[in-house]
Amino acid sequence: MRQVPKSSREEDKKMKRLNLLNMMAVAVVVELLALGFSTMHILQVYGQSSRLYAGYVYLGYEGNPPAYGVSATIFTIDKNVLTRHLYAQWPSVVLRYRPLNRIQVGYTKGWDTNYTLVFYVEKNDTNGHLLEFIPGVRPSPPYTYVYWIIKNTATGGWTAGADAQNNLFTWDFGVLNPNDAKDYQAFSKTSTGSINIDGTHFMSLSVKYETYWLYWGRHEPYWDYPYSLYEISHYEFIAWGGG
Amino acid sequence: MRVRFISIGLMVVLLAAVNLLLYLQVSSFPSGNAQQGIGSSPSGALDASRGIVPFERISHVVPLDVAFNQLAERGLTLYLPTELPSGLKLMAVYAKGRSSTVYLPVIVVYSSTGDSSIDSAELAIEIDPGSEIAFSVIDSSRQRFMKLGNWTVYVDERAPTGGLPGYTKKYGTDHMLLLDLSINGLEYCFTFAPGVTLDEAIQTVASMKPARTGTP
Repeated sequence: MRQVPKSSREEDKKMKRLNLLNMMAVAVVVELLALGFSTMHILQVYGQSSRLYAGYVYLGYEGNPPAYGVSATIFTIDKNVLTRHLYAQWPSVVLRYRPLNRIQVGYTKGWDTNYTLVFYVEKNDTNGHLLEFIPGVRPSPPYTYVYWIIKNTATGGWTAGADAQNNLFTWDFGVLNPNDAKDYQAFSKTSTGSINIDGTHFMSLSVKYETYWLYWGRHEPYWDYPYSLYEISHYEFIAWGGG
Repeated sequence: MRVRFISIGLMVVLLAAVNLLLYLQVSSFPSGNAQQGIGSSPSGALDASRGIVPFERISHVVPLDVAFNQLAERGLTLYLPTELPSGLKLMAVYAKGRSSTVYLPVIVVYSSTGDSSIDSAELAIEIDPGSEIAFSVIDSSRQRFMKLGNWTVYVDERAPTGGLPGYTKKYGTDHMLLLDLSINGLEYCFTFAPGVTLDEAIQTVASMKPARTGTP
């Protein structure tokens, strides 16, 4: 029987131990790199501010969309919002897509509302941007409110407001620049997919002709991951997901 | 010793599989959300805007001839410029909705750098229904009406973008040169990025002709 020298056996053991350590080191480095890579992707989607939407875009027939406004009845949800983030639910008049000119009314909760639910109005036209949180009245879940934006047929000025059983507030924007409705949208918007929007429910989406309102006759749905949308009709949807 | 090797090997394989699954799941998110959707302003300030959905997300790209043929079938003649500021090329035509029907608005995008984004391309022409100009002169230091042949053109030399993150990031400004006019029931809103002069912009608008295949 061949005898292996003791020193050679010890060297062999040492080499094996060294190989094992090398393998472990490589495994740790690979693992750290992979985890870092995955974490970067997660942060990109969830950690940073995003603009994520779920809702409807109005789809009219040929020619101008009804010129005199939009309204939506929206169920109020109260959800947890991470630091530096926000969500909002609104109908909106699109005056232009580039530049991004619009009028909006709805409710919101976020970093700039002290993480409480508030009603707000917003407009952006070539005369500047305005975002106003309405003082004195607050949306309270689980109530629904009717939000509306209308154009005065005589003066051309725009007014927005919200109703419950009676009028809660109105906001007069006056004549804007540009001043014609080119499109309408009704959406739930969040700044991160980590906000859960379960319970979102938009009803009675309507457009205003000169003297009367009609429910939306057609729509284009849109939603961003991680949200989902269930289209009940052309003028009603529910949305959920996130968190 | 062999058992230890095998167990470490198994652990590495297991972790790699978990990482792979995690990566595949995360990287399968719609890329538009992860990249387009960055809502912070370039300066890093928090985004307070409650915003609307950008047109790029609720539209689809159509070939130019499909756009003007479909509109022509519905009695609408699409006009497009035949002369463009140096280097600009047609990049994309976006039509509202996801169906094959071309609904208005339509946004036509031009760039000299291959940029087909509505947010940040050097020139975008938004085409909406409209038999008159929807803008008015509020600030006469930068806004005015001018005549261009038979057309009345609205000019705003410093129109705010209204919040286009890609534009602000690319050009370092929130303003654009805007020219607007209406021809045969369609309203054309030209927005030029910095670098295009007012004279070049006027020349571009003046060169508008009914669209045909081969328009630059």
